[in-house]
Amino acid sequence: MWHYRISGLEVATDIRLPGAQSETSVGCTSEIIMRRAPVPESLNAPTSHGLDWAMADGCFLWRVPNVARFLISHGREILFAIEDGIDEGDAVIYLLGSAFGILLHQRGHLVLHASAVAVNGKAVLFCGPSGAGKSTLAAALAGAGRAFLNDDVCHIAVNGSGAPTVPPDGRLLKLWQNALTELALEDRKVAAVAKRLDKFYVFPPGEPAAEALPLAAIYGLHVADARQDIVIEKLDLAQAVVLLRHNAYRPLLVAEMRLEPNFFGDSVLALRYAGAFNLTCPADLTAMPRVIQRLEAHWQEIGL
Amino acid sequence: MLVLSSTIKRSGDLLQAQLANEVVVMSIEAGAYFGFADVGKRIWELIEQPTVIADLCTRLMSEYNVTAEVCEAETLGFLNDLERQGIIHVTNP
Repeated sequence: MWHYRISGLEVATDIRLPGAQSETSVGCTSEIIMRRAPVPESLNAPTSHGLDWAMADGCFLWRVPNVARFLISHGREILFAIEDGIDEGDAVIYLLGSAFGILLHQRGHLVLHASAVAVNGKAVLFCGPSGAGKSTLAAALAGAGRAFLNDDVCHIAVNGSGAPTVPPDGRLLKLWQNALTELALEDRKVAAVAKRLDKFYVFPPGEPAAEALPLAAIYGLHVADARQDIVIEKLDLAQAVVLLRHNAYRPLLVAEMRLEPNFFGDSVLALRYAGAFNLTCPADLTAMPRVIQRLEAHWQEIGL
Repeated sequence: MLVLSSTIKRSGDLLQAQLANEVVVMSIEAGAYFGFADVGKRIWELIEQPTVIADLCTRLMSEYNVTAEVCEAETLGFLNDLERQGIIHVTNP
């Protein structure tokens, strides 16, 4: 078995995960098991189901046509069956992405599609749709001395007492070739995320954050024209709740898993401790130093 | 169509939470969100039970320095928004 620490959880798996940062010591207690096993095509008496998924008694069956099937159970186990002729790496993308996201939802965490860095011992998150520049911004900030915390799937542990915390992702950055060239990260490139894809796993620059950090701020990324100014606007409570809901990992899962009340309640608890803002900035990589400068000034303004 | 004699009632499937002086309400059924502060928050509090809009306006006029004309027009506009978002239901006499 291979052992990893992902989203603050000890994970044991019988396949190697090229997208994980480090392997932990063998023999440690694992909270999560992920292994190859026969996975049924359907569940008996599902409580709800869709075209490619079904749910019953704490189990979630997810079918990725022509790639793999995943059975995610009780927030503790992911069984997966890879279709014949499919490259293991292609299935791992789904395993570490949505399948692990479903498992985190089962564990009752607030799971967001976001990247994160550490700012003076606190977690700062960047939400946004794919292509908005979450990973690139986290990589650039890590290169500018802010410890990397998270890429892509960001889970917030809300326990009701004290600030919610964000554990280090444990996964590598995923960057397009043009971004890693511009950020001079070529020597930290590990492997292609998938065959025929110009996107790569990359060791984040600097030393990643080693422990869970209290949540302090959440930004929604919006792409601006290259000539436009960088704008940061504070969101009111309703706008902030909508930002989090739109950036749930994955938005449809929250509805399908009937997590709406939990997600809403946890969002408000998180916002008790974290300011929420819109950050509108050019997607142009050459604007990145200006974006970082503006963010650094904003962190001073809000006392971070 | 909302009129002063309409009775309004909060929808049944709402999630709501308050933080500092803001209230956020979500209709699960409609997938819609609404935020209230200041007078909007006060109106939300006052319609916890089914309420006739004219009675609501009388109450607001006793609490705020506002003419009947402005109060009724703005309250009806506000409640129309809530109805469109599925946050309240309306019964006309």
